[in-house]
Amino acid sequence: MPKLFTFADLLLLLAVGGSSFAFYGFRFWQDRFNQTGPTQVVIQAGKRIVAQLDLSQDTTLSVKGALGDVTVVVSGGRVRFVNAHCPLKICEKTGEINHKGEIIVCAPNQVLAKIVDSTSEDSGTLDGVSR
Amino acid sequence: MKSGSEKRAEDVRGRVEKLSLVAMATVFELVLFVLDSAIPKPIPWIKIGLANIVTLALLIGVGWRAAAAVHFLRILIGAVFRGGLFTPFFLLSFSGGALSFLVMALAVRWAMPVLGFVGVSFLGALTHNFTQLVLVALALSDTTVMALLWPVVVFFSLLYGCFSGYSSYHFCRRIPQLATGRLIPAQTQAARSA
Repeated sequence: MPKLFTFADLLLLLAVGGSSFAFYGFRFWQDRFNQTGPTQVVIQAGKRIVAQLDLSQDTTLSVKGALGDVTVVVSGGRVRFVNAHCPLKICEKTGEINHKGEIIVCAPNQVLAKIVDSTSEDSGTLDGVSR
Repeated sequence: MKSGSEKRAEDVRGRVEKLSLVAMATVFELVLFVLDSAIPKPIPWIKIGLANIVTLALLIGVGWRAAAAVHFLRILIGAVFRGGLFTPFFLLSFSGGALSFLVMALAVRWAMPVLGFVGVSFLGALTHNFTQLVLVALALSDTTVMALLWPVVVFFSLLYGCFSGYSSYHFCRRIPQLATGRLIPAQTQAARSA
């Protein structure tokens, strides 16, 4: 009967496992260091893009929503909503976002803030997972 | 010198043995297959490949014909049990199963003394998962899915492939009657032909 585990088995496992993980690590490393341009936040009211701001600059912006003004605060490279005149305040409870693909939505006000890469081509329709 | 009737009796015995072997091994595989579907796993669509234990044992102990019969019967009947016969999911599992069987059969034939149970089992698991990944990527026409999931597939193929290779080895050792296809004990055969 053949053996359970041979030296060739070990080599095979190491070769396949090692090479694919090395490849993955390399790609990850590449992504980390080929950082694309500065991160920006896109603010939409309804279907209209109200503003596209750099995260590096601290600003406060008042956006006219369906129920009233929403204040969008950019500070320290993070974005948050304050003082939204909506019943559930889900947008305020979302807290701060700063990673590409993250999103704050105030559904009643139809206001949305989304972090994008300024150089990425489709900073548009899909979220981070499906892209 | 054996007489004609003795030869025929032996022939019949051999055929009965083969039929019983395929039937029993298929049932064995089906039980393991259903068990495999029922076990909770971190990634539900990557199966452990429990049924593969028997296929590998038969490939090594009996031969590729019996193993192929059992393997493909199990895929068909298993799909009936799980209720997905001839759906796209069946196509996935069938092509994965067929290719991994081919790879394992070739490995057993050409690489077996060098590779052990674990190596062959890992090759089978890897082929199975890789085929499915490629088909899914083709169906979605999205190759980034492949690039992202490839390490996951390799990781689980390593884990589950080693496990089922180990199990297959002990299956061969503990149930040699089934794993070698000698259901009728040798003494009985000798006594009958004497």
